[in-house]
Amino acid sequence: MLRRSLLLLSSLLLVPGLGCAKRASDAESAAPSMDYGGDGMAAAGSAGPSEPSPMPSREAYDFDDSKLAEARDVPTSVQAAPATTPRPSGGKPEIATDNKPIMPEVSKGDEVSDTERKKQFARQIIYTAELQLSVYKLDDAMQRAEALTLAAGGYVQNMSQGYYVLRIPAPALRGIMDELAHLGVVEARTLQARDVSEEFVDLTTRIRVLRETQQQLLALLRSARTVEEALKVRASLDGVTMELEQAMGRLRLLESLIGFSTLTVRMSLRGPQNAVPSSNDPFPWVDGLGVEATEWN
Amino acid sequence: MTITTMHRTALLGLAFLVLPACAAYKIQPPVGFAVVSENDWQTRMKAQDNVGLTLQRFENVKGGTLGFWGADLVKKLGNRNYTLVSQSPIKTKNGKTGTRFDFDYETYDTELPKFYTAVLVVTDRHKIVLQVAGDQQFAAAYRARIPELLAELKVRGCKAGSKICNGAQPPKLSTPLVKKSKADPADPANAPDTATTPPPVAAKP
Repeated sequence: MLRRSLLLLSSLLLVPGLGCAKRASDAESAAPSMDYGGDGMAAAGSAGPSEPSPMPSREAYDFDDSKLAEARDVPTSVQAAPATTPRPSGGKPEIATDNKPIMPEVSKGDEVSDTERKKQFARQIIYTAELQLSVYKLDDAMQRAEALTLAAGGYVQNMSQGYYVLRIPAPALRGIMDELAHLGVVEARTLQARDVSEEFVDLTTRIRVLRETQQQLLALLRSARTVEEALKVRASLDGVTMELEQAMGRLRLLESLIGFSTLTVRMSLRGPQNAVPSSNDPFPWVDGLGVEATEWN
Repeated sequence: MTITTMHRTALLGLAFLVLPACAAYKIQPPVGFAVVSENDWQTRMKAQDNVGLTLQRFENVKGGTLGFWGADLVKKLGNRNYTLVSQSPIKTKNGKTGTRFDFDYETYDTELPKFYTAVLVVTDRHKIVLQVAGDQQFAAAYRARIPELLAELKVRGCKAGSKICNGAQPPKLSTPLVKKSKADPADPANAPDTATTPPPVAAKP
């Protein structure tokens, strides 16, 4: 009895230290034998001990794992961005919610190729772009912009007259920007890239460590003999679960931003206020003439 | 003293009377057009079918003749992918001569076909440009109405014995050849497949 209590207490003391791996290198050194799996969230979800991990019974601990199961299927990187499947306007990327087991029965560490391992640590970049166009027919241009976005597998996040915030699958961003440029005259174009590789790896590692801790606590909970023991373990388990959820939420957000670039499009009707470039012309009077200046309303 | 004051008043009154007459141009809205905006240097009108008519005034400089500005206009519009389709002399309601330039145009990148007509009249003080533009489908109708529009236009700003006003017409001008539309059937590259083309009908004797 005394031995068991000591074991329980020592485990509880270890718990706070487990979820704090801030650096990938730290995490790797802490658990060198672990495998990350193929990519991001799937890796986070599927990472587990190399030995089969027993599933906790629902009766023993009523733990809501549905969110974890959802997250396992979310694409994690640019490489894993969704294919060019049209989505309904205004919709969000659908996350698979099939009832897969919470934890893998067997680690797939041996099956993971080097390529997949490299993918895991590939550059994770969030692209944000802006495009300002002056168009001849605003309504037509807006409809075309929306159609192009849907055809590329993206969706409209925000829309008002002459203003769009589009979410475009990252690999298709440049192509869509080029297509949109054909809707009128490009007045301004910007593209920003934010490298979040470090944060991404940190989160992935943190999630893996937290999941291991969670599993250990579940095992402890199962072996608890008294109510007091069970309550103490449960309190720790709740803390770990909350931290895990926060990390997974942040990872999901990162994945969404990485997989779907944000493109802000501003369109205005083309008129005489839009300059026509004339190089070093001493008589630029013709710049103010033409169809645009005459037909503009 | 009284006479001097009277003279001054008379001169002032005369100046006020003359001032409105010194406007570079005067036009009455042709049938089917309504004025959108008007100021000293520009008058903008619109028709129901979105065809625009503007009249614009630019300052002239020494040496600026109808030939010079006509060539300048055609060259610069040509650089912007306008295609000059015809050029002809015109005469305004008050007898000032100018040149009419008819262009075809496809809007930049979007390839919307448009028509554009510019009538240029040059005086000692100003260049006056009357522009009509709209969708290509209205080209025939509005180009036919240009003489009617000019019949409403009066242009001023000519000095006595001016060599600029009613000067020589510009030579026959042209714009660079623009790339043909992808759908242009005249382009051999866009010719329909021979397999789907009906065989030519034999000519009757």
